[in-house]
Amino acid sequence: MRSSSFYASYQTQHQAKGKAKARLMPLRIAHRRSAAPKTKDRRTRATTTRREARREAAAGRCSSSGLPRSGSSTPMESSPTRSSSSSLSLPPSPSDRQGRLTTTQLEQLRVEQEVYGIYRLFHGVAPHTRSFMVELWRDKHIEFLARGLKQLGPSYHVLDANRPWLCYWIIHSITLMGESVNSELEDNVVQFLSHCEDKNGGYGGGPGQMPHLATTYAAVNTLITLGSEMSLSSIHRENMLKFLLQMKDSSGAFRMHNGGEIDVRACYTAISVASILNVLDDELVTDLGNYILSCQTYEGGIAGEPGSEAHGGYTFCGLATMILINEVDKLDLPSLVGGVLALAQRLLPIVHKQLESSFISGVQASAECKKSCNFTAGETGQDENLCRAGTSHPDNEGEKLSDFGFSSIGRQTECGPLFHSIALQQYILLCSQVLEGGFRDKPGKQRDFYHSCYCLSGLSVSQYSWSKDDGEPPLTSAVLGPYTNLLEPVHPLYNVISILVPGAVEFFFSKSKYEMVNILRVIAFHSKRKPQAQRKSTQLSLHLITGIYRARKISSNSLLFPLEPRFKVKPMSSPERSPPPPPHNTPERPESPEPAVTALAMAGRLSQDELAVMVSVVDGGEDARAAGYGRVSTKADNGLGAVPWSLRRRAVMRAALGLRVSAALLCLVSFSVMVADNTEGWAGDSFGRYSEYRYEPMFSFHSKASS
Amino acid sequence: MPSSVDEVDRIPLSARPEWSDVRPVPQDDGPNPVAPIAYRDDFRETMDYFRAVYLADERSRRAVDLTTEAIGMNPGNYTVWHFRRVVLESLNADLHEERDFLDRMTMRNAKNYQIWHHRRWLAEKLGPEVANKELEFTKSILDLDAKNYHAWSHRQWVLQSLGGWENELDYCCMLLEDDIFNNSAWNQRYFVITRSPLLGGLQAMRDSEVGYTTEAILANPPNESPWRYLRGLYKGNASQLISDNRVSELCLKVLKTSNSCRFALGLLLDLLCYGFQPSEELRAVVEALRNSEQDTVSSNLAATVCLILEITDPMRSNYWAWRRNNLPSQVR
Repeated sequence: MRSSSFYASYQTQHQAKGKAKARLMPLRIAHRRSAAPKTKDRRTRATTTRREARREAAAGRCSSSGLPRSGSSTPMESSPTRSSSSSLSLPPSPSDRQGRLTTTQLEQLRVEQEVYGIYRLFHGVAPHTRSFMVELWRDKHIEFLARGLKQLGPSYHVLDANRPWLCYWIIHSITLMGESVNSELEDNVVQFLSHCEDKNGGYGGGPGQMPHLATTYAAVNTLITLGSEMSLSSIHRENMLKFLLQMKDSSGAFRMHNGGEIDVRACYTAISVASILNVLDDELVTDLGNYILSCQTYEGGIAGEPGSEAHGGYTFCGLATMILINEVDKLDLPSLVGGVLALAQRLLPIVHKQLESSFISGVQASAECKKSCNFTAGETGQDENLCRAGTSHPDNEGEKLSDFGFSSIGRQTECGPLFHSIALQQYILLCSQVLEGGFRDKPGKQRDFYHSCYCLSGLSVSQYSWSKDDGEPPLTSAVLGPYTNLLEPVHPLYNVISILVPGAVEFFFSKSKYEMVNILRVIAFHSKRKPQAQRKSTQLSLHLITGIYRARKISSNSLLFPLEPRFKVKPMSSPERSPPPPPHNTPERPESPEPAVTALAMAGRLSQDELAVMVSVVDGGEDARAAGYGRVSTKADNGLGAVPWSLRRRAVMRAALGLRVSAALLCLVSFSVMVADNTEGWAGDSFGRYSEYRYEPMFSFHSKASS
Repeated sequence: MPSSVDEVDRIPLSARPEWSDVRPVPQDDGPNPVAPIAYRDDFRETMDYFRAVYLADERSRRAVDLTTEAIGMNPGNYTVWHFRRVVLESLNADLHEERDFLDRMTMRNAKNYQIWHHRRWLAEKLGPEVANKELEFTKSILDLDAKNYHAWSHRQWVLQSLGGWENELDYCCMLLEDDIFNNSAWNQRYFVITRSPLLGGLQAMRDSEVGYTTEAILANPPNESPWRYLRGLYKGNASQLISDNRVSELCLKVLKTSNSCRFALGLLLDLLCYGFQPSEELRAVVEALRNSEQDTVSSNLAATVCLILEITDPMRSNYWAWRRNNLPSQVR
């Protein structure tokens, strides 16, 4: 809460100096102007030393001491019957405490002062240095991360039960920066993680340790981030499902491990893994929604367990779980959004898509229809759904979700992010980024892999927060600092690179060894979420992308092999920086780095089957182009509602389509030949003489083809 | 790290006669481990012996001692903790002794999931007789850090499973008196008000709690916690929220006297969205807050509130703009 006032003062000061740069604060110009009259006291506050701040606070207290207040400041006597009356008597700021800042205030002030120091420095320096400061130090980060992957010091023994986590934090971070690990390292990761895998399912914190849900989540996400067939197929899904079922508690929630603690973290990691591996069955979902709901607190956020305090991390876990199991409508979303903006903003579009598609399943919803402001029948229905969801009391007229505009939160196109995406990027780059590489929680803390992973993930989310669709390159105005700061987009539910998700989902579906009934049930479950129409192009292009990824990995000998840059990356040390493209212009897409087919040919590991399908897709133009950019076209499926079809099935479908088309053409040819043929040929015969059979061959051809 | 202190005197397990019959099992990292940790010798040896004991499922006193050593080096190893519980149960060990050990461990690692989980297991075994001791213990942890999430969760579990509600509201009051900005203490207060079997629930407590919260807000309007708590007191009961005059009067009072009125305006906006009819005085106060530079003149109070918030709360201005664009039809 204080940070905002603090930020206001920083902004106004920034403006007062006349150094405001539209590029840095493109979203805030109007507000900055109008905030000016308020500046005086705010600026004073921000620039005061701690002692001055204390004095000021003391003055504030004094002014409020005139307000009615009763009773003593001593702790109340311990009698349950007296409690209610005595609770009235407590003055929150007893006189002896006047002028003293509480622990919370001091702690907050300390961080704000440090942050302010950094921001002041930032706005005091020359513009050239300034853009240098908000640059993402990729090389340094990669160095820090790669070093960790090779060897960790003795002090890391306290993370000896978190080794798959270390793999995930590091590899996910590397991939977010558009880099990839080489094939040798990839083999090592897959091999190492299979040493952590328990023979009865799930992954432990290290070789020989019990399977644990959190490390299972980390291991699975790591393997999906690697993305190769080898890494995906190293996961034993059936054992995994058994393990997840063992962790399921009678309350509906999950335990972290055998005999372990029950909390929302466990629920999220279990469901995330089950969902992406395509083993999410009814038994796993039973009563889970109610458990998560019982963890939502009066503040709107979600706690680790019922009764505890709302917490950002647990709120992410709880909300993501509810979306994955399709029960998010149980939560009180208006109050949650009031509390945790950024998160909800990022996740709710997915909710929106899900609900929409579940309502109009079967009807092909065009992309235009989704974007339009006018309500289609489907959307109106969805709004009603949400209204019901938001009403915790049936007789309560006012508390409708639609009243809070949830119908439009899904349409980022119109409203943009609800959180301040530039300010968040600025905090991450200026205050969390450590110049020697890596990220930290806040100034004064040490860098670590955990914060590197989540700072980069958050940076990516903020950069893409203005993008109309998942994965679309953002405008230059949406990316703080040089455009080369742009990271890969992440899937907000699983926190893996979003382009890798559909491929993984599809892979695990095609690998499914479950009986047909099970498969059909899953199809039904998923198709409720997503109209079939939107699936195809994305999934095909995804296969191309994974192919290219793999090709690159194979061809590389270095430890880390950068993917072909999508946008021109200038060396970090270069003093000159090309001006960013003018705002409100989609940045130019570079030429496709290499023909997709060549890339595929390099992927020696691909099976003939896969290659055949991929090549057949390459001439599909759009897909190949999308793949060339390393991005999925956007209608794109974030993998959530994707109905995974096996490769084989798609190949057959495609072939059938080709056959039909050629049959139609042949029909036309034969038709024209027969109509035109009235002269007697070399046999002294013509079709014209057998008028009753004239078109028979054509029909038989046609009927055969279409059967 | 504790091990560094003990390191000097530590006799390697291989040199201890009582372990001579055990063959240590090295960790199977595979040929090319990723992110390998350069273990110190004592750590590696302890874990090698632990693996041997764990794989043999040896439930003995020396196994417990070994887990003590392993936990001392890495309290995050849940497998070691789990095995320790299994062995303790088999041995029917003295769990009060275990409690002392755990107290020491918790003091050193107050934010460790495994330790607190073990503590819950232990308290469950020992039953209601330790309820007060556990509450005392969590208090000693909260004295060091009044927002320790694990300590609060454990305390709530103790209250619900073992009892000890009698002094809990007083404890909350004490903490709030010490630091009125402590949101964890506010949360605990809500927990007590809604769940204590001695207080009669939220309905019975609402009246007095609104009084308490109002006091807290008036003493410190920029404190977000009591504002949220106040809303929480009417959770799922918006009609009562808008009909209780004390709430709107509080908004009015704060808006009249204080510049930092973000929370008052936020609450007022919610009231308006729920159908609250503002008084003329309230309207006037809000209009007065409006910046004269603003060209958008709106007859709608809710929209005005949003506009003011978009300026005074720049970090969330997108949110307030979104709220303004999506006001319910009856207040539009």
